[in-house]
Amino acid sequence: MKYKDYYAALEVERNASEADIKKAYRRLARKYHPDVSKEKDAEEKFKVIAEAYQTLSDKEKRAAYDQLGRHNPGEDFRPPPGWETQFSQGGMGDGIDLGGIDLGDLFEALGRGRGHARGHRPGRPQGFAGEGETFSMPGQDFEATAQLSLEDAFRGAELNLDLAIPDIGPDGSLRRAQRNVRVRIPKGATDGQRLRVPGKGGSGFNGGPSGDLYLNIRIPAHARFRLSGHDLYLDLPITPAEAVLGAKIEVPTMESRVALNIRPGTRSGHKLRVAGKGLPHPRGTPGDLYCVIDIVTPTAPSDKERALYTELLAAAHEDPRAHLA
Amino acid sequence: MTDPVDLHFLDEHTLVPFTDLPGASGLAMELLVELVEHGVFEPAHPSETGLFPAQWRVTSHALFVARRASRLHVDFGLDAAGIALALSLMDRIDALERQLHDLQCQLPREPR
Repeated sequence: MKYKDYYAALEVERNASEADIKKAYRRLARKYHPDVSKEKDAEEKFKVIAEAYQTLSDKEKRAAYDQLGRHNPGEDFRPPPGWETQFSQGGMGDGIDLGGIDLGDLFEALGRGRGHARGHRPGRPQGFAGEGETFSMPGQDFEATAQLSLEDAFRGAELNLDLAIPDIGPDGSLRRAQRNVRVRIPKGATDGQRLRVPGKGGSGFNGGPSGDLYLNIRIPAHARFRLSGHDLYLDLPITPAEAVLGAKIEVPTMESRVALNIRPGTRSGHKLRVAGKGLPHPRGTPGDLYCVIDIVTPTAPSDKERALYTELLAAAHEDPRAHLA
Repeated sequence: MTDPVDLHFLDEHTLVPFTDLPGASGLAMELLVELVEHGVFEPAHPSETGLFPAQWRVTSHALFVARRASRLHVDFGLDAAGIALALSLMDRIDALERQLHDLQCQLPREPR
């Protein structure tokens, strides 16, 4: 079993009072809670903080944790002899091999062993009956992020997700089950979309129903298109001459190319809408493609261009700064 | 190899029974009903479909909201009023971030 330093996770001394531990947890939770934090790796950091607090805020669990002694974080260790009989009270299942178990799962099992119906976090097991009664338990819900390319979001895609889902073994002990889930992402899923996969969370115990899998869709930035809801934005560079005189040009979409009319007098920042060429929508009208005009001035004009621009400068009859006079 | 599973969008269009929320979130029915009173959930026409939560229906997006509410309840110890306030502020932040993202999308990228 790998050692985790719960005191260090909460940034408190080993002799910290209950109040100090609570205060430290609240402070760190506000900073790293995935629902409120923009910190990098907030979710991972919060998991560690919550796990540490669940153990250290409970007198009995804290005592059990303290008796494990001090080790270096990540160091392989075994609890002192007799430790599990002193603290487990059947919560981990009899004869469980402590060697391979996660320390956090072990302490969660300790709480269950005492018959506490705690841990009503989403996806946590519910409905434990008292000691000695037979009970069934629904499986844990599980939340994961599925990364999808813009192309896959456009066409719909099958994804293979390798997930370490918290599961309950036949002996009632908690374990991480490595599971491969194949899901079909329908057309029209967009960044930030949330989906539910019924019955693909943790397995139920003793006939309890399986939990659900919740997926958050993330679509990373695309080299060409910017995604906003179901609409796409594309930078469309044009020359000053095309902007002044107008032009017919071809632009790429997600599936082909379309011809676009640039009207004479087009300015930088103008948006030209290509209806229906955004992402498909799960119910009804697809998004649109917007081409954002970017007038690109030549950086190394030829002699002929320079001469013509000089002529243009002399011939210009509109003052773009008239309003600043 | 097993067939891939189909997914359900959590959105504002599909309705699910209100009674799905306790299982999905781990929150007690009493607290969920209190959250309805705070306007967090707006069950479809409660007056027409009955006075009892067992007859209410909410959008499937409410499953996500209920799970978020549960995290706020468990991880911060918030009560119904605190959850409702936090959720409405989070919604506002989400909306502002979406607006910012939409506006950034409309600006040409920096010249390469």
